[in-house]
Amino acid sequence: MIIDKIQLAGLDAYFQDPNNPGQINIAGQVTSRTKPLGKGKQLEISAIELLIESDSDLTDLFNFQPNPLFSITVMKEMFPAMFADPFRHRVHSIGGFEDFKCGTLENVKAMDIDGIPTIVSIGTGKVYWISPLYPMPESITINHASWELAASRKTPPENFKYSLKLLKFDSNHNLIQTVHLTNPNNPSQPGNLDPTKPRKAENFDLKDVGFYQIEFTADVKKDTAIYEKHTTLIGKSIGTPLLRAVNLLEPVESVYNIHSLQELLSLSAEYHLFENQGQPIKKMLVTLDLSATLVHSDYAKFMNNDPNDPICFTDPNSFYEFVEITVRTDKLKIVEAKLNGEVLTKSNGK
Amino acid sequence: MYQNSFFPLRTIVGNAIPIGKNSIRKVFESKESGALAMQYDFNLKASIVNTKTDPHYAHYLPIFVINGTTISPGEGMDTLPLPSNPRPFGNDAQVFSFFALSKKKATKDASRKLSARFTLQLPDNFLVGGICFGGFPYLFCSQLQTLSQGVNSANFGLPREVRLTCAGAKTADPKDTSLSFEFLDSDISATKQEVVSHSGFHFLCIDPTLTNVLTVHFSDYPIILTKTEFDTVAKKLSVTEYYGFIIPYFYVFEYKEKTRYRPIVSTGLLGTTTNNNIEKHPFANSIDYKHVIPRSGKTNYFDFTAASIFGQQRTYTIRNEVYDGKKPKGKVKEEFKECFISLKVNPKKNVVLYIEQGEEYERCVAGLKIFLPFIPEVALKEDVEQISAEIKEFYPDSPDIATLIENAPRKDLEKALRRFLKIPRDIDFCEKIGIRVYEIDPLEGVSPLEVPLESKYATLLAEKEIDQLPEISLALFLEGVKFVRPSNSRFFAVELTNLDDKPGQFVVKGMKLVQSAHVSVHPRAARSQQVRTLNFRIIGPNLAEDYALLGNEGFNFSIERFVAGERKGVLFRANSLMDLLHTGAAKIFSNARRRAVEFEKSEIYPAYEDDRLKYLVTGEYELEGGYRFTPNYEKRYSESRLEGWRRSETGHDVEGKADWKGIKQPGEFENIGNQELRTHTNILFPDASLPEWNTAAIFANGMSIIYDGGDVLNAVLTGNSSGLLLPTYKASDNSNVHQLAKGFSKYWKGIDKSTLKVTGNLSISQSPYGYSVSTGQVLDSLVRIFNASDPIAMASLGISLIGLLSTLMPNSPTQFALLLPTLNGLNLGLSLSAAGVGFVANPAPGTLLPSVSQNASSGSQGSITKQASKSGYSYSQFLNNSYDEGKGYTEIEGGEMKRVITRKEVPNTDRQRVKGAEVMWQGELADIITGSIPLNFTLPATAGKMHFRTSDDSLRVRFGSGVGKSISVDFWFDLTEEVIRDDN
Repeated sequence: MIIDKIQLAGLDAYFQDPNNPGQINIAGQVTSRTKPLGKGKQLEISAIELLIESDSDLTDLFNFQPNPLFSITVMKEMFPAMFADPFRHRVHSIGGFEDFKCGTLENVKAMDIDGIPTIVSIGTGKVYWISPLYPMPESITINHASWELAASRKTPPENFKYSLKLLKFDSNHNLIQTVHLTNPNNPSQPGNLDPTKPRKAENFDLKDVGFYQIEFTADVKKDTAIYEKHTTLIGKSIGTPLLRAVNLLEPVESVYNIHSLQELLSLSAEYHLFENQGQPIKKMLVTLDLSATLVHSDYAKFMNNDPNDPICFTDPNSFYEFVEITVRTDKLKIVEAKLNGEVLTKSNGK
Repeated sequence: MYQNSFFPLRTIVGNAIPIGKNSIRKVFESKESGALAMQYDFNLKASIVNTKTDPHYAHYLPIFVINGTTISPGEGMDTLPLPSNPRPFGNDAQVFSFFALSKKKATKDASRKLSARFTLQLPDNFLVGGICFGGFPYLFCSQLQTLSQGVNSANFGLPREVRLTCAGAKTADPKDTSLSFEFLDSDISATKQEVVSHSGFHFLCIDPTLTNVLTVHFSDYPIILTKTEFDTVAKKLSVTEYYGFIIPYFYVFEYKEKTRYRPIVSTGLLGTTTNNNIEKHPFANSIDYKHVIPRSGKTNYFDFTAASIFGQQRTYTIRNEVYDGKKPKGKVKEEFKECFISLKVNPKKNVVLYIEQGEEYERCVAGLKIFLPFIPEVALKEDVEQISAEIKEFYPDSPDIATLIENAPRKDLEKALRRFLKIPRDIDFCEKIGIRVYEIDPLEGVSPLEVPLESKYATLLAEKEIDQLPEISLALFLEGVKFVRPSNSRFFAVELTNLDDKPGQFVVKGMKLVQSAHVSVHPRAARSQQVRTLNFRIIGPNLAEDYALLGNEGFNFSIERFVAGERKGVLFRANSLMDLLHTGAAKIFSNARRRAVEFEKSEIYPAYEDDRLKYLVTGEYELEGGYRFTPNYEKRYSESRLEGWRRSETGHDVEGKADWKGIKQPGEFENIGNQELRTHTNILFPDASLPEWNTAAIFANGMSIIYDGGDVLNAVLTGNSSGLLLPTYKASDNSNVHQLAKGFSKYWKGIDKSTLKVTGNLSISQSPYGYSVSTGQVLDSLVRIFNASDPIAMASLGISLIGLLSTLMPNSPTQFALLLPTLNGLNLGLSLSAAGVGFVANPAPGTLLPSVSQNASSGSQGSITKQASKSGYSYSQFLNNSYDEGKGYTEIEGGEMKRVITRKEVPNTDRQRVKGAEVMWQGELADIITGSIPLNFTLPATAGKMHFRTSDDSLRVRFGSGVGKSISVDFWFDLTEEVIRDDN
């Protein structure tokens, strides 16, 4: 079947005061979030149209303000089961033939599996790979990690066990700290996971990282399906495709932390200033470019497990895909934000 | 994301390459394999027909001991019937079989550590396309493992990892004789590793590689159950397992691209699951029905396995004595034929058969045909009457089935059906069956057996309820179980559900996957596909023959896009070659055609017509007060030599050829004529070297001088013999050249000129009544006298003659020297004298009586005759025969020939054409059309999170009238696939 794609309209298109449903004026330091999408629904956002009105001259706000005037957050399931704002994080992706082969490989081989460079176990011994040491131009913080394994989470748990570590070094290449990514409850301690477990580690906040390295070990018990051409192996059998990539998330300043109206206008496709001769500018319309596609996620987490509970719209421990706008300044009288977007709905017949 | 291509119509499997028995060696075995005392064996069979029996098979079938009773495989269990057609190779292809079984039991998980490698030496360099192998479909596997882990413990006897390495491929560098594998990054190995293998043929395909040496590496061996002991009272179970593998079919094949367009798709069984209650120990209760002959002590069992649904069905023989695996003993009591019979399934419970396409590329599958025999409870009589009427329409003399079975109890009909199917009598058919067919698209690392049918990775394709006879026949024959849309999936699940209200057993006599008549691409559950291009290739010897057609059978196709409920878009349609070419989407590589029959006229240049120049070709004439043309000429130098013979015959009995009739009739062969001939003969005097004749000549010439002195004397004085009375000639005075040869020696060629001496004649006369005649002996003796070879005879004759003469002539001499001349001149006559009448022998001749004499001459005469002739008439007709052999040699030293050639078509010969030979395909002349149509649309993964307008989106290449034999057709899609990152 086909269900038509329609333009988001009506009250649902507006950001509303969560404490005052129906109130679309979110001035007054309100944080407003889009609602969770039901299963089968998708929202494609192209822009946010803002109506900004003030009692005072808006030109005063064209200068850089120490605190942001607005913050816009896009929460996406960037990696399976990991929700983060793609505009607020830089992703370090370690993967590919060069990263794998420049590291140290024991009982593994980097192979092209279904077109993706993958570390594949060889023979039957324990598997070990350590990446090269990556220097950063300046110290960074890494707070989340997600990794891709070739095997699905539906793979039987007894097929293999693995561990993944993030190693932090100083400028003299001395190991300072180890984060055990595969021990989500206690990253400071070693831990192994099986393929059915989530492949993420969050909020471990590794600070002042000047050099880092990734270490992967695995104990493979069973093999899986492969059909590939490769260079010849003498006397060894191919095991299981394992690691494909490790993604480290580094928090960065988002462009959508808008410190001035000048920044707002520079991010916008269109704007209109309501100017009257000799009068201060008190009203403006802005179409802020923001491209995001929101979908329903099976890993969404809600406070009280109820997506309809309004507390989800503010609770920082509710994770689902949303766009959130926070008006941080108190110098505005009216802020109305409307989403420009299209809604898609699908249904798989049973 | 990776590039992929989908080839639903192509096969690359060429002929099987012959491998000699001594061409395979085991070159490696892992140490774990050695530790388990793995016994490897391999043998070569001349044909797949010879794989039906092998002494190895029995070692892979388990024995069960239940409460002390030993149940071993029955007669026929240890056979391997031929796979059903179409098979990948013909019966005349040699096939290898590999076997391995450890001597030590399997006590720990060592599968992945077991491996062996074999080297195959091919008889020559072949363009290898890969290997094809197949397992033993009837091995017992652990249901627990299947249900919990999605693996088949026995894996149909196949190692889970098979690797092929082409070691013999050479580099092409003229200065180097290295092998390709000496490049450090040469991808010369291809590995196929599966979580679970199916029961049919497997293909490990590689890029076409010219090589004569291959290496095959087997690894990750399955477990073979050989014995299980149950004690149902003590609830004790023990199993005896060994590691090993069994590969009855192993081929190496050549790479050859061909079209593969036929309804049946080769398929294999992956495994079976059920949601019916089964006991939770590994081998206690299998889904396949096991028929045990009721005996005490020792007995046999017979399996009715799910793997047999595709046609490999064993024949079992039950005798009155137990079969112990050696020679059958006892009388035959019954025969069974294997098919799939399930355990007893409770109402609303199911059995699921997981199957996999068993060809080298996935095909578009439109549905399946399945034979579920049972005697329906519903509307049986009416259905039989209807079917009987339908049969009678085509076969009027057929018996009325409805009447035959009208009053037969259902139970009897079921008995008859069991007998017809050759299955045990205690089988309780399930009579209301729900069939559902799912397409399975598992994520990576997940076995297809582990995909729940209600998950988003299983897509329902067909649903059907069978409880009536027409539905049984439809499912088998006509409609089959048709899918809602064709599927390109490799894996399917066929769920049989007991919709009846009592337990029953599913009996599946046969099942086949049926290919779609068209080619299509559809969304998949676990993969997003971006369809970039549709490519096609049409090859045939007569494609470019007529632009109004595509091949001799009028092949045509159209490319259609279906999006949910919208009107379909026809992207492309081609009913003729012109349709294909005019859009620019296709290119043709064809052999040039030209007329086979043409009229050609060649005129020498310059040519004239009505006294005027017919053509004036620029540069080929000069104007010089008229027209001047350089002449046409040819300079040749030639030598030849002929040798032969001629024969002319004429005369009586010479006849010409029988078919010379009418004006060709030659008439008599004769040579006649008349002529007036005048001759002058100069008779030659004998050679003057003969004294007797020289004397005579001197005498005659002397007398002539006396009587006619002038000329003769002059001749004597001058030596000019022409004036002599007797001109003489002496050869010795003329360089020993006889007179007959003088000035004529050339013409005496072939005759000895020394014999041409003229010697004159010697005459002998005798009386016919003389002594020498009357007594031939005396004459003979006389000859011998002068031969002087018989002096005794000579003396005897002399005495006789003397005696005779003295009687006749008293005064005759008696000396022998005077005797003969006397006898020579002796005349006999009468004489009258005074003394009276007397008989007188008188040497002087007498004339009173006629003189009768016998004359003979000897000697030689010569004459020189000059003739002049005048023909009055001459006629000659000869029959000629001749034969010539010749050798010739000609050099053309130069020449110039100017011609004007005019060509015209010959009416009614336009369709006769001759093809060029520029384009070949696989060694045959062919026209080739290739093309590609950019598509660039996306088929989303239906299990993915991202939404698209619809997932009901497909592209189909529809063949209007099938493919036909005169052309080879291939359509394939270039795709970019991405496995969805859905870890749910």
